[in-house]
Parts: sequence; structure tokens; C-alpha cells
Amino acid sequence: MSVVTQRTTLGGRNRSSRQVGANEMFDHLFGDDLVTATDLNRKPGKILDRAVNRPVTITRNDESFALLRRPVAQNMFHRYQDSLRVAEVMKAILKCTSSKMAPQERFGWLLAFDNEELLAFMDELVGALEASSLDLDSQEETICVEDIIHEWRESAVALLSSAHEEAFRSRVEEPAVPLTNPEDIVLEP
Amino acid sequence: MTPGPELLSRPSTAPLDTEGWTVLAASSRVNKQWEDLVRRAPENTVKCYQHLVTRPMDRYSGRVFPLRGKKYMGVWEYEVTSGDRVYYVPDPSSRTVLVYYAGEHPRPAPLPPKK
Repeated sequence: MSVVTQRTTLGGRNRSSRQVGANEMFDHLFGDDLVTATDLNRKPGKILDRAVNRPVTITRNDESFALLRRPVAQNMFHRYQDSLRVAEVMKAILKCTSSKMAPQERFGWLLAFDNEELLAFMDELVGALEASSLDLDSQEETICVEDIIHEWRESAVALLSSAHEEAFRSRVEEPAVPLTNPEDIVLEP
Repeated sequence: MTPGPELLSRPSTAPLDTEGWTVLAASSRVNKQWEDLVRRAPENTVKCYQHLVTRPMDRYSGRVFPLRGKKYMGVWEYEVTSGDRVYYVPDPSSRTVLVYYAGEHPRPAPLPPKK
């Protein structure tokens, strides 16, 4: 069984060849690199060598198992978690844009933004999810969905804070002074 | 999430800016707030200051980032500790950073109840 993949666009952006690579990984997850449990028992080393490069499907009677490197499996799990989180936030954003969100709700802070800004939030989340799915085998740090949500929430706090608004508004009312170098204080005798 | 020493250990992809930025407090009152913060969190504020002087527009995901939303476009937030924030406006044209808030995480005003 092979996974059917399609080239898609999102927000006007075409998928790159790296994204096609990620689709190939998913193809291989259900691809025809099949070995039986008996083969695994007889030639475990060779099967593991194959699994280094791509997932291997192991069959036993009516069951099938995917053998893949642990970092790949870990990345896949993290991407799954990220997907759930993005879906949760996008559902809240849609609730906001349709004027059904109440301030006391868990995502009530989204009300600090207008619809245009909420759409930008959605775009940023989807972009992060796309970017993180490019290379499941990558050990490089990718944009963290939780960090993006955190940054937007912090931005909402700033938008809703009268103290912050007052500080921002009065920033040009008095003469600026050099910010004290902390080492001048920390190293005080 | 508590920012720690690892905050500035991630290598930036941009070369270190050797010229440096001029870092100002919006007023002597803000500078006083900053000095109080330094006494509360000396290690983290040293790192914050170094960041403002060298890489004020370098983003550290979840810790140092530009605020979202049109109203405060151009404003950056630096999470000094889990409970303290510095808000600043970097101006690349003059290579100046204006810090206008340094202190406890501001509390959001409650939104009006939905009618």
C-alpha cells in the first residue's frame, strides 16, 4: 500500500523539493519494502541496515509493523502533537472571527486581535507546521509551535495592559537617558 | 518557562555586530525601573543588556521576539525572567534601542463581557 501524495500550495507558497522528500518518507512508511517476521529473525542486522535509510514494513500473518529509527519516530510524534495544538488554536481563532468567543474562555485573549491579525496568526502557525514537517529525519531545531502561541499570547497581554500602554505612550514625553550597564551595578564594591 | 543562561547560547546566524547599538531608557524613571530589575536578576539583565547592545533584532523563539499586532508593530519583548519583561523599540537607521518598560510582567486588563 502506498500513500498518495499531492503537491499543494498554501497561502500562495509552492512546496519545495524538501517537502516532496517528507512525502516520500510517508510513502515509505507504507511502501513496499516488506520483510517478514521470519526474515527479521534470520537477518536482523541487514533489516536494521535497511531501516537506517527508510522505514521497513514487517509483516506477520495479518499484522504489519513499521520499523524506523527512533529519532524519526520521535519527530513524527512531535509533529503529531504540534498538529493537534495548531488545530486547537485554529478552532479558537475561528470561534473568535465568528464572534463566539467569550473573554473568560481559555483562548479569550485572542479577542485582543482583530480578524486580520488572527488570520496572520493562523498563517504563522500553519507555516511553522509546514516547516517542521519538511524533514522528519532532521535534528535541526525548527520553529516551535508552542513558542509561536506563547509569543502571540504575550502580545495579547501587552495589547490589553494599561500599564504597558501608558509606558509606550509616554516613551517620547521625557528625555531619554543611557540605559545603565548592569555590570556597573553588579560589580559595585 | 523560565529563561536561563541558555537564552543567549544559541548561535545567531548573523555575524556579531561589532559596532554596537546605543541603548537608551525612555526616561530616568524607566532607567530606575531597569536598575531595580538588575538588582533582582543580575545575571539575566547582564545577558539582556548584551543582547540589546549587540543583537536587538535577533529573535530567540519564545523569549525575545517582536510583538504581534498592528498597534505595537516594531516593539520587541525580552523575557528577562518568568515574571519580568523588557519592552523596547530598535531603530536600525540610527542603531538605537529605546527601552520604555522594564519590570514585572504587565497584567492585562479584563476584556468586557460578551453581550
